[in-house]
This record gives sequence, structure tokens and C-alpha cells, in this order.
Amino acid sequence: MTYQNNEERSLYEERASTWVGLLGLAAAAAAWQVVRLFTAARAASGISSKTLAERMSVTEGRVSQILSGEGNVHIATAARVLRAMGYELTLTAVPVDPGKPPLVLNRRGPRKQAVARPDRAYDVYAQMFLTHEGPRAFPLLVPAHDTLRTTPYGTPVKLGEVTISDRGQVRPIRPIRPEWQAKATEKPRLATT
Amino acid sequence: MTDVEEDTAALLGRLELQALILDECRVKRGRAEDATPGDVQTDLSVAIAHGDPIVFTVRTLNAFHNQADDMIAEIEASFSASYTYTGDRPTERAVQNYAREALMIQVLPFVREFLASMTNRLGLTPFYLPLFGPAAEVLRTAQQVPPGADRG
Repeated sequence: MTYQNNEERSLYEERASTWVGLLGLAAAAAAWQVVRLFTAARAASGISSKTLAERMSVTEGRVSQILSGEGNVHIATAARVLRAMGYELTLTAVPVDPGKPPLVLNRRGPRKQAVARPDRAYDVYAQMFLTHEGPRAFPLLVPAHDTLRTTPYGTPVKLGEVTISDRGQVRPIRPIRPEWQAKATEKPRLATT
Repeated sequence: MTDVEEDTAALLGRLELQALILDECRVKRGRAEDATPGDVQTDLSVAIAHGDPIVFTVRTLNAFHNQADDMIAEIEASFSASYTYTGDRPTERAVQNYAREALMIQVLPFVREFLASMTNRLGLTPFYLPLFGPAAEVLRTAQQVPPGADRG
């Protein structure tokens, strides 16, 4: 169906009848609004092109291009220009198609349910390795009850067992190293003087 | 409360700690070649000089052995604690009782810290002097530590 075949349709309706035309109209409307914002902000602030160019570190010619909406002004550029004139750019979108709800930006997404996983058990070993400084012992953390193969420099020496939680908390199950055995100190002996 | 206990209780408010210093320290290396921690034999004695101030000399002798019961090191130290007193001169028995009870509360933390520091500096596992056996036993029972977890 063309314009000639249906004279009741306006040019706007003709453009809006296809997706390409519809999106082009939306882009043109946005660009027009941006230019309106620039014009209003400049009139309200009374700022000169020279000052604006200095603040934005661009030439006066570039400022003129931006303010007239020449070319495709980036959103970031529009925000810079408005901020240089003392205003802040805010964006919003309103529903146009029937049945579309208004947008809500401050709603939180669904929270992920935390799945409690049991602590994992590990064995702590010391394993000898040959380094450029000679044989050196290095700690090894291996899953509990795992089978270790010996290296040419000896069997790994088990130092202890630990559990590691999801959050990375390490708890020893057994003492990592032997402790001193001593009787409790209760009362001193009085020396004879 | 007996007369001696009353004397000691009265001393708590009359004696004031003036100085606590590490007087002497001696470290002797043993013949052990393996430094895996084993038994520690601790001896703690107090010598009293009844002057003004009253000076308590707390001497501690600690022998550290490995698992094979060979001596790794021996640490001997003496701490001097000087106390001034107010009022009449305290009786000898009250001072002796004070040395057995209240003095340890002020001196033993320093001894404990000293031994932990020295064993660490010697490259050994730090040794923390266990204090107050019966009291610690009560705490262990309260926490219901499973049998076998008690490491002395």
C-alpha cells in the first residue's frame, strides 16, 4: 500500500508504518529534544560559546556543531555540554505501545538463594621438591583421603587436617604441629634462704 | 577463715608493686638433634627478702625435651618483684602465703610471655606456660571437650 493509493494517511503515518521508519522517527524526536535542551540550557545559563569551548576543551566550531545538533551527538557529549552549562542530563523512557507498563528502575532483581554447602576437608602435607637452592619442603593442600604419589624426594609428610568453608574460613581439625606437654603451674615452691 | 588467711587478705591492700624486672636469664642447649616438642619440666620457686621493700625473687627453670626425651634446651630465668607496704611490718607467714597465692597473679604472665618469646627466638615451637591446672580443668569440663582432645 502506498501513499498514492491511500491519500488519508499522513506522511508521519506512512513513515511509522514500517519498523525502519518508526525507529527513524524515534531517533529524530530524540535528537530534536536534545537540541531543545541545549538551546534552553544555553539561554538559561547565558554562557558564551568561548567559555563553553574552554570548559569542554574543544574548539568554538565544535561547540557550534554540537549545539545545533549537527551530526550524531553522543549521549556522553550531550551530558558534558549540559553539565558545562550547569545542568545535568537525565534520561527516561515512557511506554508508547499499548499494553506496555511504565519502567521501574529501582526494583531489585530476584535474589539468588544461598545454598549451604558443607565444609570441605583437606589434608595438609609437606612435600620435598628439588629447587635451585636444593631440596625444599613445600606445603600441599589436597582433598581429604586423596592418594598422593611420592616424588623422587620422599613421601609427603602429613602435617594435619583442615576444613575450608564456602567463605574460605580454614579450621584445623588436628593440630598442625605437635605441642609442648607440660603440667599446669599452680603454686610456686618457696625457696629456703 | 584462719589467722594466716586473714593476714594475707589484709596484705592485698597493703602491698604495692614497685618494680618487676627480669633479673637473670640463662639458656643452655641440649644434646637433642630433633626439636619435635615433647615434655617440658617446669620448676618455679620464690625466694623472699624481708626488707623494705619486700623483694620476691621468682626463679623458673624449664627443661624442654623432644619426643625421644632428649633435652633440646634449658631456660632459666629469675624475676625480681619489689613491693612496698604500708602500716605495720607484715608477718613472715603472711608474706609467704602471699608469695604462694597473690604474687603469681602478677608475675606469672611475665614469665609466660618470656618463655613464649624465648622459645620462639630459639626457633622452637612457642611454649605457653599452662597456668592454674584445676581451674583449667573446670573450664575444659564445662566446654565438654571430647576425650583425647586434652593435650595437657
